[in-house]
Amino acid sequence: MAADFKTAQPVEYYRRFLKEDVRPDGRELGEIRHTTLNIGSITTAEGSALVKLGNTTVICGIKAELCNPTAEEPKKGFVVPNVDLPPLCSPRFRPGPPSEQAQVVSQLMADIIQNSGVVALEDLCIVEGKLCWVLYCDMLCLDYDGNVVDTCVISLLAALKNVLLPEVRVSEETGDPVTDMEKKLPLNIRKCPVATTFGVFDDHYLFTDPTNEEECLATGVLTIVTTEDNKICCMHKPGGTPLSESRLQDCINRALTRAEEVRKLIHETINSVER
Amino acid sequence: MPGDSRRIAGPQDSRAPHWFGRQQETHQEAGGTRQDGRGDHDLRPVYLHTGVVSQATGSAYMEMGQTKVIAAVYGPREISRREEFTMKGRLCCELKFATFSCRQRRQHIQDNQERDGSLIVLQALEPAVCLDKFPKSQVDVYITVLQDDGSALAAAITCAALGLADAGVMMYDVVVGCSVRQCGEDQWLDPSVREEFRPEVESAGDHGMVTVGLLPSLNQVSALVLDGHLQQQTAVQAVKTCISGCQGIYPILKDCLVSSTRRNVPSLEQKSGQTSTDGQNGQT
Amino acid sequence: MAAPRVCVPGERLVSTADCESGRGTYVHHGYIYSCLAGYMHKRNLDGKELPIVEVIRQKEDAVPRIGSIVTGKVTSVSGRMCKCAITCVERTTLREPFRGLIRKEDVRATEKDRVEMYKCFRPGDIVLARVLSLGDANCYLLSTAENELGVVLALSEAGAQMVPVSWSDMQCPKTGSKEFRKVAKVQLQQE
Repeated sequence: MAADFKTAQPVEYYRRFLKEDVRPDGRELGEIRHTTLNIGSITTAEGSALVKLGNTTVICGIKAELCNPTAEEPKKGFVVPNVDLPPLCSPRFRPGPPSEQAQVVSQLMADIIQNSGVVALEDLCIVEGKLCWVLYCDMLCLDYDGNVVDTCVISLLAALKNVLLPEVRVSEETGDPVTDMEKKLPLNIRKCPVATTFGVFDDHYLFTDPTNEEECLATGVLTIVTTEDNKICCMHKPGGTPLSESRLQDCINRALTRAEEVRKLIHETINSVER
Repeated sequence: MPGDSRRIAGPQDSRAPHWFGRQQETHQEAGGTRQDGRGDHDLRPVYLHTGVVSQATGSAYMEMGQTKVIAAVYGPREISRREEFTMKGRLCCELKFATFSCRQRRQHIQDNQERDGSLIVLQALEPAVCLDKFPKSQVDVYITVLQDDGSALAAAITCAALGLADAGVMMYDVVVGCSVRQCGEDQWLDPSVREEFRPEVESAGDHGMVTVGLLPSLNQVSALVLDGHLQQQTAVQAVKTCISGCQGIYPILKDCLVSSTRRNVPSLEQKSGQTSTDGQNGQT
Repeated sequence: MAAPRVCVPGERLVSTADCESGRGTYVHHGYIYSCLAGYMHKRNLDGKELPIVEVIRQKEDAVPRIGSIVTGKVTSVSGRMCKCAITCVERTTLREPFRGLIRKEDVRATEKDRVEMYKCFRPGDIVLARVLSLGDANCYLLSTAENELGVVLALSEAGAQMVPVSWSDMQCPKTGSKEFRKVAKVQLQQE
């Protein structure tokens, strides 16, 4: 009968759980799902990472290519993030061009990269005005069970840390680039942004890391991205319930704690891969 | 190429670093064994797992060496496009290569290879699915190749069939795919990507690749793709090798399916003890 | 007792000389094969010589069939019919809804010509209905022309869950106002 009640009146079903300060999956309001990380499993990519946040799974693969810098910014390379939410990951997505949600998340990733300065675009320049790297960071969602933003950010950061670029020299005779595929160098990661997403329910309850069901029922969503020097580099709150200053402060504090945990996880995973 | 306003665009023109690399090492050493030390008719290690996508009705993940494929099955669900009433169900397949799955970066938009692949997978699976069991509904199969290290199409067929079985879609049989690369005298089962793209040797007469989709317990071939040019006898021999390869993968698939069923499907309250033991007179 | 045998699609189970083919199986060249990955069961039926062999994976079908009871949520009501999204078939909750349609003449068994759709259903109501036919390419045709079928759950204009007072009325506990519905006679759970 529980299942019938849930399909007939999802909001009321959820409300009854929250009254007891617990969520249908057994988590407390502030609890985040178990996070697992697998780095470097895709060997055709220059860098890759697979992240699971509960059921939600995102794989990020980074392909590096060589290109010409723009005339306006001759010293800068490119980072091109794209988030794909294919019909494979959830029944709510249909085949065809990227959904609105995918476009929003892609843009959010681009903003986070730019605002946090995770990669300095100058580091990607090889010869000023002539040659630079472009990093195509494609985040592919394999299982959509809510909170895809946090998962994407973790996968992006872990994959960037995994990137190895071949050494490039420019031949003096021809002026063409010559790559040495044997000699590979890691990328300089300057900042470590981590996102934490909160959901608001009934204008009152605040919970972290919403699942797909919770996202559908939430009256508002808030994402806070912080870097390791405890700075906020991005905040995303697309409409919904207004939040008071004190609650916002509470969210920020929780985001800072969570970000620390995630950075530790990434650090530990990378070390275990290298050994 | 027309711009794609719904994605974040990179620079207009860029090239993979290996374009400018030094000459690649030669692919094949002299003498029988292959690069990874396999015999000509050996399969790479196969890993299969079901239930990887929580949102899907059924799903499967497959590794064959470094080739990694994921498949998710949705449905039976309402036919999305408005069509005439049919008493038969519909099967839809979509095969996609992830942008980072190959040495050369792939585009987001479906290309010809993916369209062809989708059709081949569909044709391989369709004879195995009992379409009359879900009238006016459709079953969608989405397959993504996460890394292509050769035989991706064959892996996609096997993975999709396992996903269908995991979804509880009624089928006459599962489908197993396997490829063979014929290069002159050499016949390699389950080729890696380097063996697939081996440049044509000038003298070689036979040069091609065969992919077979097999219904293993009915022993029927549901799909057969031959690229290149092979002499008749070689072609027949290659298909036979493919079939024996499929039969080699089938026990792994079966084991995976049996153990996942034990794990995930609750056994109904046993009404009586008369099951199982006397049911063994069928072949196993 | 041994664990029930697990079989996979295409697995040969028994000869047709020993058993009859039941759910989840098919017959091919004198043998019964499985078409699911599931547990094999043999059942003896009264009045039949041979036991029936079945392969069982889930309890119920996930596709509406003629005669099955479905649960739906009303999405729109017009003068002639009522559209709903089928969310459950028998006791199985669907992952994605199917479209269903209740025509005016299938709302109740008596006084069919006096039915007023707006006095029977409102958008958002949860209804129990029986599948009449597979309908056209878009919708399943449903019927509520039985005492046990109709609206089981409805919210009043004030937003409270209403209580049935008769077969044609429901009452809001907040305001006490009555609203018309084709009410289903509540059955006790048979478990």
